[in-house]
Amino acid sequence: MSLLTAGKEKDRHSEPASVASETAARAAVETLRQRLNAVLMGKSGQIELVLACLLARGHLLLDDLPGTGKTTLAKTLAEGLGGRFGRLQCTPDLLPTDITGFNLFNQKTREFEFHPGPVFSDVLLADEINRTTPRTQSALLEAMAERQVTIDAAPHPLVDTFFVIATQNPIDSHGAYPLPEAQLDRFAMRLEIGYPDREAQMAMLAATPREFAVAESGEAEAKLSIDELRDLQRRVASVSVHTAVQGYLIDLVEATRNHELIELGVSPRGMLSWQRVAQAWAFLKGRDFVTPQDIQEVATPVLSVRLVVRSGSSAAVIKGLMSETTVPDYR
Amino acid sequence: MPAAPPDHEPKPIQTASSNPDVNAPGDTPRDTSGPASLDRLIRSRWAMTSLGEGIFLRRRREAIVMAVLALVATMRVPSASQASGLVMVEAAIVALLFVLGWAIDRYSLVPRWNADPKMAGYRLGRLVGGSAILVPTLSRFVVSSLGGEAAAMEIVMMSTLGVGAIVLVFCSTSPKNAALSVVCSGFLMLFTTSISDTVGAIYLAVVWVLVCLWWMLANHWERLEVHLAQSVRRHRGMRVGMTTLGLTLCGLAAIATWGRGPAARLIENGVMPTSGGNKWTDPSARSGVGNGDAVVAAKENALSFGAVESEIFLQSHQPSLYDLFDDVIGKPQRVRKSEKAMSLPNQNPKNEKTRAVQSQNADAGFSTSRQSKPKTQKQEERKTPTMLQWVGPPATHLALQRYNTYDGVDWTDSSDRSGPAPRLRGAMIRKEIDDRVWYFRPEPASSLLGPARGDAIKVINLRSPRIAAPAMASGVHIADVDRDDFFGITGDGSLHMPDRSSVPSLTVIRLVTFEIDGDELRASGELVRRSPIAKEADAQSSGIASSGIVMAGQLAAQWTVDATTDWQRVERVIERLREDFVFDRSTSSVSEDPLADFLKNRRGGDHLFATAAAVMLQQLGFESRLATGFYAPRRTSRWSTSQIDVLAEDAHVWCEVKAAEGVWVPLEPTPGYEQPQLYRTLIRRFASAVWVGLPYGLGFFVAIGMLWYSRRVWGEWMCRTIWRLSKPISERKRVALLVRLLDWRGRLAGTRRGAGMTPRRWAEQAAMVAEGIDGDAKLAGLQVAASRFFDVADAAFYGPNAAVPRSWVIDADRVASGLTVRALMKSKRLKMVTR
Repeated sequence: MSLLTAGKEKDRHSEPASVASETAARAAVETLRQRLNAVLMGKSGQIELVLACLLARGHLLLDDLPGTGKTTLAKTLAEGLGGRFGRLQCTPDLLPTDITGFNLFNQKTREFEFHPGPVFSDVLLADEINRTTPRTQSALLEAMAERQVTIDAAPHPLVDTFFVIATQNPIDSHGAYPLPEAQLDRFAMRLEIGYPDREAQMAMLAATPREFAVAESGEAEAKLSIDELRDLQRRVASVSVHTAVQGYLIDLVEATRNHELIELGVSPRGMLSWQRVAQAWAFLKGRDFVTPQDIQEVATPVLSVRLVVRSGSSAAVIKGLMSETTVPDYR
Repeated sequence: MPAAPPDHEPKPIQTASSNPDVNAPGDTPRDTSGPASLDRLIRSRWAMTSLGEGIFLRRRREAIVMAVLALVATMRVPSASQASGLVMVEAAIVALLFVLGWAIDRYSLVPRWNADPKMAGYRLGRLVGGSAILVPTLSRFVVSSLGGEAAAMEIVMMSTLGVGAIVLVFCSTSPKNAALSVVCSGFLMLFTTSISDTVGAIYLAVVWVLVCLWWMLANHWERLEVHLAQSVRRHRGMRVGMTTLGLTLCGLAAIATWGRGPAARLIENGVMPTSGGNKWTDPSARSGVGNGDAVVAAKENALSFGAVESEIFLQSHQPSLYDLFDDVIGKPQRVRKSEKAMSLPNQNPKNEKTRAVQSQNADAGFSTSRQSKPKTQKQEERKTPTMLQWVGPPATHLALQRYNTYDGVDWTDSSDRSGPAPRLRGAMIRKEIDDRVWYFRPEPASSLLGPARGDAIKVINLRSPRIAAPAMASGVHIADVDRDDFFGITGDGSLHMPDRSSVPSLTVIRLVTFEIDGDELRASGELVRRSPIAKEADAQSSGIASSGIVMAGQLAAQWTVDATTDWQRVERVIERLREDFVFDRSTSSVSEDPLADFLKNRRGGDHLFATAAAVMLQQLGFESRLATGFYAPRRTSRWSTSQIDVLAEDAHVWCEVKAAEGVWVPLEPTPGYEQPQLYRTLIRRFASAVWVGLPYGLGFFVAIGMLWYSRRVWGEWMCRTIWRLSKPISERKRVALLVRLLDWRGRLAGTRRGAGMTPRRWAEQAAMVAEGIDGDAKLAGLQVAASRFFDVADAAFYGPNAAVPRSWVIDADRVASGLTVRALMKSKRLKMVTR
């Protein structure tokens, strides 16, 4: 018998039905992973992070060059989930009501009728989000943070699994409106997809258009239902985080606030988001607890969306932060 | 420190559902509103001990208060030999170290290049604060080496315990140490209160008890609140195993050391030596059967008059120095002149002393009505063997009598041939210093005289009118004795009390002694030469010089061929005697010419060494003389004060040489006795110490260098040994130990894990590189084993269920034997190539 003190066994682990549903949910995640890998070849690391973001109830900002598969990834992900899919092609003339919806006076009934916008969906793809005006961008603030929209003083709740995937192009600065810090802080992470390696490009060239089409459309594939997603998100939220790991997380957060090269460090909301993504990361690796290494592995995408660096690249600053902050010992 | 005191009221016991080690993700993190100096390391430690930070801080704070109270109580213990100023200085240094340690920790006052200033500040702060424990001992060492009156060893030990109690709390990260500190301070407080005779000690004890009560009450309620165990798993095997192991080790140690060495006797007979009554007696024992009278008679402390002040001139049965020499060296024997004789038959021996037994109760009948026999048995008193007590530097020669003329067998003093205790020969000068009357002999005007120092002697069992004193004892003072005719100088230059058969027992005699400037003596090198008149007088008194004297003269001339100054000649003679001759008091010196025999056999007692030295120096033309008296050895030097018990066996013979008019330098030709210390300036002493210590210093550095050079070999060996020996400890601790061992190996190999790198990543990378280096079969599968081991480690330390699978040992052993210093060095080289 082990000398180690056994902690309290959580109730959910002792329920066979729950175990079965978790197995099914994990299988659905695996299917989704495979679909994404089939569409976005050679980017399994990024796909894991996308899944972590989804399970952590965060919102995702894809930031890369044109043609690297941002929109494809977002579309495939949205389609892989068995929910409603909304899409916004952000342009300078897009109005907030185009996103949230609006009240229209019905001449027949003599009443205002609410016409919901694309935000009333399970997955919202906001393509080229930095092309629309800050005014329109701000329409998403409430939806992303609080999962509701308020129109004419009436709140309209969104689904609790509401997930925003936004893409933006860093190259085109003409007619682009950079996202404000408040908006950025509402994203859980920012991902750069990057060009695929040679092997992946060979595979892409060898694939037939049919294979691509099947992969993208997801025909005959089992989808991750919204209920399953909700259940998975609940499980992720219950992944345990030891006080030592939390202490390490706080050390890192404080380091971002006191770093001389960082103008804006991590906010408490960012810290919570970081912990949640790390929980999802641990869950995807089959663990029910978070290790310091999980915190480190999700640090770059989580921090790069919210750190404002005075000079130099944020990646280098983040790397420096990680190497300077002492990880907890096994004590 | 947080000011809010903990709530000591009983609280409803919480349900066991909340594991204090693991916060649910939705929970807010643990309240970390502690001082900034208490870093994450301690926090995690607290978390593991299931104690809140506030509780831990309170325990620390109150334990420190109790330890400080105990330390203050210790400082109040009266100590005759320790100046109160020194105690205050010690206390100030201790306080300064603690404040400095706290400040370093609190503000991370460490060099900027430190990767983790918080941790470095924490460690350095603890180190600085912890070093306070050495202050009492170092202070004693420094004060005694500078010639001051150091604190008694008991006081030093008590102070160390007091400071240790504070250090224990200051440096600890475990709440257990606070409890241990309270035990230490409690013992100290009890002890100091029981031996103290002031009211203040009682007040302190009362305050201490109140704080302790407060502390214990708070602990009780907190324990209920915090330590509500969810489950307790008993593990008797470990306890039984460790107890058996301890018992076996003790038994083996006892068998190995039984009957060997003084330490074993100490265990056999009890730790505390006594002056009688049990199996182990020690001359420096301070208490025991039969010592009560000695305590009352103030024989314990050389400087106390005590109850005997009025009895100072009582007579008693004490041996004289002559008797002592008879006991120690052997009785003097004369070569008997034999005459012709013959034996006669023994007829009719006369029985003179036989006496008839007579009954005192003759014709009185026999009564059956009798009293019972009294059962009281009087304890036999054990007399102290101490001849006198010497309060002064150890290894001092205390002369009683000097002789300057040797006739081949006997030494006599040419100035004092008529018998002991002559009438006042030299007048002493009366001086009053601080209302005390001192008598000084006329001070010789010589540049060889160094500074004067104060000594004291207490006569215990010695019976002599002469005062045993160093060669250059100049002033003498006995309390309340202020008559000029009580002190005098004998013809041979000794201090004495004329018209008395002996100095009364238990008299405390204070002396002022001039030190002889060794630097000056070496620099000038000149000694006083013998006058031709003295030589003639010697020749007349001894007739024709014996062959021993002639031999001594030849040897001395031979030994001092290359010496250039007088002092060098003296030194050569003494050195050769000390090196070439064997000290053996059991050698019989009954001979017509003991000196010649000694020079031939090169073996003899200290009287022969001293005779040889004195004669040789006389033959070289110097004024020298034989001195008899006592040698105050180092071995009986007491712990508590600087006084030395001089015993009968410390009777000794040495010689003196005249360096200038009125300046006699004692010389020690007998090996085994220390040379008398000549005065040297501090700088020269330091330079000499450096010169003497240089080989040791070089040796030390070479040893350190070799250790450093071979650090990887013995470091690896140590890591392996520690890992093998760690089997009895808990699995969780073993996991942590292996991670730490890997870190040590990484440091040794030069591939130190960075502060921000997790042990898992570091080990996996190292294992991957090591595995792929040269296809070593031993290293196959190392990376997988490392991954599996860290899976277990992570689960054990960060997971909600801390169960460790049984198979972990295989992976752990694999990692421990695979990621060696050698493998890590190889992987480091490979990384450098591929970089």
